[in-house]
Amino acid sequence: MINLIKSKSLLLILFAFALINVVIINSASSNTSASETENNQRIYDKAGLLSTSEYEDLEQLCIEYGEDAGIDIYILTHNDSDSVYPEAYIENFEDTLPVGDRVYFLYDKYRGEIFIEGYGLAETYIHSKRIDLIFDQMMTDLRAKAFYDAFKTYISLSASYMKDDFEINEDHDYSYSSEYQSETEKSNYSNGSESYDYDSYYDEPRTPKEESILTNLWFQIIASLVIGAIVVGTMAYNSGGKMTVQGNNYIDPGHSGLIGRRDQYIRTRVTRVRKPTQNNNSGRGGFNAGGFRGGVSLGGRSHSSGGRKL
Amino acid sequence: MVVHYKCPNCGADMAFDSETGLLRCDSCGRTDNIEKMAGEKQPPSGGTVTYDMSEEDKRAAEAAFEKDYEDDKDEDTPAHHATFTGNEATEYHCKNCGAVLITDTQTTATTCNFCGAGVVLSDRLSGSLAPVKVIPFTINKAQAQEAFIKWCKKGRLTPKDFMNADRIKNITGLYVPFWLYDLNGRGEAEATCTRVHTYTRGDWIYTETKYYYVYRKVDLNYLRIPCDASKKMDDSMMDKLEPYHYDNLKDFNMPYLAGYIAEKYDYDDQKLLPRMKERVNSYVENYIRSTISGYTTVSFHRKDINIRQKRADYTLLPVWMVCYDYKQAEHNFAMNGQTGKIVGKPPLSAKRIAAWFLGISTGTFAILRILTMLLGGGLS
Ligand SMILES: [Zn+2]
Ligand SMILES: [Zn+2]
Repeated sequence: MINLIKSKSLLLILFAFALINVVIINSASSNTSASETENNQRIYDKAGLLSTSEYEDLEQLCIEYGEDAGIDIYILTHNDSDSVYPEAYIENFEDTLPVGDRVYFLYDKYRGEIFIEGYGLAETYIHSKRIDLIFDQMMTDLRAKAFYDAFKTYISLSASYMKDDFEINEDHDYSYSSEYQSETEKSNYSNGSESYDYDSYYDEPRTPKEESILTNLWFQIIASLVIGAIVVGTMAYNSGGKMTVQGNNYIDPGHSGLIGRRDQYIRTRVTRVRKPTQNNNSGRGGFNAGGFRGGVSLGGRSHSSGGRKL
Repeated sequence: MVVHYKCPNCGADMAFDSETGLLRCDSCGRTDNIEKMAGEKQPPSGGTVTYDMSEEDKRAAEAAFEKDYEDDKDEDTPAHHATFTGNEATEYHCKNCGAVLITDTQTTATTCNFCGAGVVLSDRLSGSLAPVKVIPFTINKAQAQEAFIKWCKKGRLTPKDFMNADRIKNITGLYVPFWLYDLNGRGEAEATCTRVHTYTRGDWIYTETKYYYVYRKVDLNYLRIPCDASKKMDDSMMDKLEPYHYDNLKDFNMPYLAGYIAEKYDYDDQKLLPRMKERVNSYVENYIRSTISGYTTVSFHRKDINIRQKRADYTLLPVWMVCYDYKQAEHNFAMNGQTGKIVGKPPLSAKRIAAWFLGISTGTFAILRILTMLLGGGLS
């Protein structure tokens, strides 16, 4: 009896953890649905770098060039000291939208860093090497704070790369980390001031720290009370004795059994998902066999990426 | 007919002794082997078809059954009523002292209220009402009382003063009418099952799902599943009394009832068959499920189960009924007269429920906190 109660409560604890997981997943997805309503906006200029007319002009350009190239072209800016590092900032933004073909330019004014990521078709066409080329064209304008001109360059170059099949990157498996990284970074960013230190963000969490529900005091109190209630409830229910016989108590073993059986293989289905990346010290993102840089968002979306310091 | 077992030696009343399984005289110690008392067996084997009380009784029982189960607002037809009155009007007198025996229509054995002699009403145990088998009591009244007190003390949620078990109003040894069914269950099922295998290659997690068509056909025989045939007994309580051990199952003989209360069945085997089929249906289902193993998921798309009655024996099984007075309310408990298993709802103490609830909740909470601290250390 005591063993029974023990194993029951163990099950209940497991059940409580399953519940916790469900709650976490729900809360994660509810955070993200807010921005889906403004679906035609392409420029989120939270740092306030553009005048109203510049903004309207660029919105128009994003949509025109984007339609022509078959992707959505986004520009994000912010000056937020609490925000996550640039790579994750774009990833989190992307995760709020339905899967699609998009390219993002982010200017993190607070950190003084720029970042580009390509998703879907844009991952293939606007790969890290082309991102570096886009940055090269933008740097002079950006340093002169001529943001309107810099963004125009970004929009037109992104659209034109979508039509350029000369050297595209079909391999989206960015698992080779350190060897490629050191080598390519050295060659690409020989001029020290521009080099973007990917490593510096490896230890940072992708999302701002928030208390996990698992460790939430109130949740634990409620879970404990529920478990207590269920265990005592079963004890009370069983206090009047319970059914202890089963079919086996009455079966006539000599005259019972299987008289027909068939186990027939029909088919096999294989599905695959990306290994969820952890916030560990091995770093996120990396390089594929071709030396292209990229990463995977929390939502499991793979992307090309490139960044620089301004 | 009232049958009364008088000691041939000293003339005192004899009663069934659960310890020896013999008919015993308390005054002089004489014992008689019941299985050898062939002369007492009713009805005599190969007996003539008689127009007797028992047939009337059976009809009365069936009439009562229809009334209760199918339409209790139905008016009594004069015919039913006549049968019933005739039946109830039958007065039985104690052969020992001549006093009127207090019986109702179901009573087949009782004890005389005045002299205490155990008597058996043989006319209600013959013809179609003759039990085929019986499991005699192996636990006597004193042992039953002791076991009950022990059980009260074990209750985790029962009030302290209930645990004293000092207000047992009465303990009655009762032979409850059961049908022991032999049934055949055939089942056929089709299911789609899967075997899931996951493995990791590079940055990808692969899930490989293999689908199988699974077919099973079973032929199962179940022996002597009891089903209580008394209207006044709570079905679920009687089910919980199981199991009975059939190594002590005897051919019925009236002296087994001497000194106990016994009743005849209210429902015949056909009336109870649906209840039995439902029970065996789940047995067959479970059996089929148990033959399918080695799969990750099993989902049935066809299950055909057919249950057939092969035999049903009218059997009397021993039950101690304990009536317990607690705070102006009667609580009834039943004890398996062979194994001592006790069932019945004891009163519950709010205080003790609260104590257990708090204990378990705080314990769980402490475990969660410790886990949090261990995990928290790893995460941050
Ligand atoms: Zn005697
Ligand atoms: Zn008497």
